[in-house]
Parts: sequence; C-alpha cells; structure tokens
Amino acid sequence: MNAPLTIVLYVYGEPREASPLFATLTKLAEELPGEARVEFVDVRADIARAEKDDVFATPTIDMVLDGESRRIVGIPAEMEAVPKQVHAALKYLHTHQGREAG
Amino acid sequence: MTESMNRSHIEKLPTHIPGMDLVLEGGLPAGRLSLLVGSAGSGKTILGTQFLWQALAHDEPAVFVTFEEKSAKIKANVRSFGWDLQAMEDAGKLKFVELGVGAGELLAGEFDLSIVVDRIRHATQAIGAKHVFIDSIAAFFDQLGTDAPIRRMLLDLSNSLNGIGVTTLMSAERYEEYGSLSAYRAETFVSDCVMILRHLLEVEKVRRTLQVLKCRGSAHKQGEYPFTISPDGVVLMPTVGMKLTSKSTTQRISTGNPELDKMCGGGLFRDAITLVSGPTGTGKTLLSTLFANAACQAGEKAILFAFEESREQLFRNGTGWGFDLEKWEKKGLLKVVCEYPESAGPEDHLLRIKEEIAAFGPKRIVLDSLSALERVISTRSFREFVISLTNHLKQRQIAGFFTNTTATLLGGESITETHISTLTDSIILLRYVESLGRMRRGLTVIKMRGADHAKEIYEYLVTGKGLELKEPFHGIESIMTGSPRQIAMAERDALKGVLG
Repeated sequence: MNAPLTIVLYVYGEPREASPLFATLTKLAEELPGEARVEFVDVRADIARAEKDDVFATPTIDMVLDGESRRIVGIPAEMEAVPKQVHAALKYLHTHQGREAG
Repeated sequence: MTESMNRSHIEKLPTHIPGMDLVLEGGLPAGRLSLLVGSAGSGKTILGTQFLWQALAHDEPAVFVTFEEKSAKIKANVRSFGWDLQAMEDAGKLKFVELGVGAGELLAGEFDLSIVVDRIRHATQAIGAKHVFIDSIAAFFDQLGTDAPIRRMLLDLSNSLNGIGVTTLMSAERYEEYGSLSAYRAETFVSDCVMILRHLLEVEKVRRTLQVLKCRGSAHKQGEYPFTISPDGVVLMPTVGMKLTSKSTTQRISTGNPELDKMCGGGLFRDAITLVSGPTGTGKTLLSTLFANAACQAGEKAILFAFEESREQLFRNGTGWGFDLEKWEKKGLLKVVCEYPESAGPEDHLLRIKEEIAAFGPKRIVLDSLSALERVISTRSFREFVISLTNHLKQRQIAGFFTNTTATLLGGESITETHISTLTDSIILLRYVESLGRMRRGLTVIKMRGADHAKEIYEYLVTGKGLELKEPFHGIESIMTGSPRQIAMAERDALKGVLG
C-alpha cells in the first residue's frame, strides 16, 4: 500500500501560470491511486516557509512521499508535459520507497 | 582621510581587512554591491568571509549567502583562521542563507528567482545586518544553466539591498588570470565596485594580487597589490599606502667596529638602512653579527633574520669572532630567526618579519642575506619587498642592516645592488683584492646619506677578534671593479719591501 503523497506547488505571488498549474496538479492528484494532497504556497507571502522548505525558484512542484522528495523547478513550455514529469518523479519515489521498505 | 575621499560623494564602508581599505581609499562603497572575481583558489571565499568576520568583530550583524558549499563546511573551513562562525550564528549575529539546486531537483522550464532576493533581504532584516557576502554567483549560473533569470535577480537584488543600505560583496569565478573578467558578464554590470584577485606562479612561488578595476563614483588606488593569506586571513601589502613621513634623526649608532664607525663619519644613523655588499666569504655575516652584537652591548634589542645559516651556525661563527650571541639571546636582547627563503613567498616573509618586530620590539634588525631572497622571487616582488620593509623600519626608526652577495668572486655589481641601492641610506662594499700573489680584502663606504664618510678603500682582516681594519690600500687601483692593478710606484715600494 502506498503512503500518502503530498504535492506542494510553490509560486511567487499569483502569476498567470499558477492557476492552470494548480488545476493540473489537483486533477493529477485525483487520478493517482491512494491518498494524495495538493498544497498551494505563495512564498512571497510566506518567506519563512520558503526558507524552511529551501525554495530558491518558482514555480516549484515538490512531491513528498514517505519523507522522500522530488522537485520540478520551472514551468515546462507545454502544460501537457507536467503530468509526465510528475509521473516520472512519482515513479522514482515509489521505487525508492520500495527499496527502503525492502 | 585622503583628499580624493573628501571629493568622493560615495560613502565608504571600511572592511578592516589589513591594507584593503588603503587600496579602496576607505572601504567598499557603502550600501552597494561589489564584485570579487578570481580563479579557483585565488582567495575569494576567505576574503569575503573575512569581510563578514570583521563586521561581526565590530558588532555588526552579517549574512552569508552560499550557492555552493553548505554552511557547515564553510564554518569548518574558516575555523583555522580563528573565525568561529558557529558561535556568531548561535549568538544571532550571523545568518546563513543556503541556496542552489539540490540533488532531487529537476529544472523543467522557465522559472523566477524573486524569492532569492526576498530570502536574502528577509535574512538581513531579521538580524539587522548591513554586511552580506554572496559566494559564489557563478556557481548559481552553472547550476541553472541559463543567464536571463539570474541577470534579473541580480538587478533586483542590487536594488533591493541598496534600498535598505546593505553593503554586499559577491564573488564570481573566472577561468584565466588575465582576459575576460568573469565567466558570466551579468554580475559585472550590476556591481558598483569590481575587484580582481589573481594568483600566479612567479619563480615557482605563488604571487597573489588584488586589483580594483572600477569603483563607480569614488576614488580607489590603481594597479595590482600583493597580498598573502596569513593564519589570520588576508593581508594586503600595498606599497601605495606608504608615506614618506618618517622622522629623521642625527643620532648615531655603532657598527660594532670603532674604525668602521670613523669611516662612516661617527657611526650609522639610528634610522638608516645599510646595505653591505660583497662576494661570498668576504665577511658580510661578520659585519651583520658585529652590528647586532653592538646593539646588545648598548642594551638594545636586535633581531637577526638569517636566510642562509642556522642559529647554531651563526652562534658558532660568532664564537669564532669573539661574540657570545647566546648570552644576548638569554638576556632577551637578541632574537635569531632562521628560514630558508624558499620556505615562503615574499609577502609571507615580510609579514613574518613585521610580526617578529611587533612582538620583540627591536631597535635594529639584520637581514642576511637579501640576495638569498632575491634568487627565489621576481625582481618586481623583490623590489616591493624591500620598499615595504624599509618603509616599515623607517616609520619605527629601526636601523636596518642588509647584506648582499655579489654574483662573482672578484668585483662586479649585483642585481640586488642595482635595485635597492637607492632605497638604502648607507652602502658598504667588500671586495677581494688580488695583490702580489695574495688574496686580501678591501672595504669601502660608498654612500652615507646625509653625512661625510671616508673615501678610501681599507684593507681588513677577519680574525678571532672580529673585523680588524688596517691601512687604506695605496698603489692599487680598480679594486672595486674586480681587476685590481698595482701601479708602478707601488710595485717599486713592494719590491723594496721584499728585497730590503
């Protein structure tokens, strides 16, 4: 059984790209098996969070699974590329989780 | 404060790094961004950290932004300089901002770096810092692989920090000592002050220099200035900061030989720099030892810096000439410092000499020999060394006694003589004199700045009592050129002596 997945989208202010990206991530989370949660963080309003989470660029998508993190920094030219990258990151995380468990 | 500083409208922030504020004519432009470029190993991180450390030592909080190394590593690396950054961080005076691309991060497309500016600004405001060091921006360029967002970020950062009066020093890489300024050009445009650190191999020794390329709106010294990295950090040795303001005295001190004192018109001046030059074996070390011994006899402290002989050799030789140097050492009047010239660069030697002088407080120093040092450094470095040292001695009215070994056994001048003769007040030449099948020795005083002196060439002997001056040579000419020639009258006199 997969552990709960957290997807955090860090943005700076409310850029035009933020809404479709957030929507894409929410939709992706719904399609993912098991529990998944999407969080939206405006680091301009919450610098302390940016410091704590070590964010240096926006947008950053951070996927955290069982304490392991995989990040995607920047917006791909095509929004369709986002799910592919998220899935690739998740695959990595699941593989890693499996190794840890094993 | 210099005249040029008075004319400047840009406020300067002292770095308190030895010698640096002289070159920058007061310090870095306050509340602005300055850039420090240099190749790997040129000392950028050390100098930048020292900039912060000096601020912290003056009770000014500071922020260290690192794009490359983790703060733990930086703290460990600089601990050897006595800079306890951890303690400062614990005390809330120092904040680290660690930025950069992590191992699990994938760069997927366009991004914005505004949060970098915010995080740095937030860190400075959190502790009230007015000093920031960013190390190194080139590492960030390399990690991101794109220039445009960093250019925007740098411009924003410059404006943001300027707006709150923070003085920022930022380091950047360059891949050649001379040539294009930095790996990426963006950082140079946003910086008000650009400095270059260089480290070059000269005669197999590293020569480090700092050059201020530009300092918008304010004065600074032109040219490259040597520096070294001492156990306390960076120390610049700008000859440009030296002033010919040393006091002058008519007080005389003994060379250690009454006859030689007479030749010098009553001894050497208390603040004089004297050069003794001659071939190997003519007695330069003897004269040096005499000079140091005379100081101790007068109850004055002396330091003997030896580049060619060990303490034991010097003491043994001294005993052979009738001096008990160990006695003076035990009484705390003499200090002997022996080092191979090859053991360090000229700046390190100079720093060591200055430190020994500061710690021991001598009235005289002997340096035996300058030519040993000259053989391991470039002519330019050598001249800078001598200028800095003589200035240091004169400012403190310390008598200096330097020796030089000429390249040839008979006569001839040396490069050392050529380059430093104008920097010395007195010059004594020692020469071998071949005469009637015998090798004799001749001594003459060719320069005594501000005083009359004997013009003759005196014969001297090296005996168990030290130096024994005899009569001037008569009937021999061209002794100093190394081709002594008996003149006819002398030949007749000599034959008269032989035949009776």
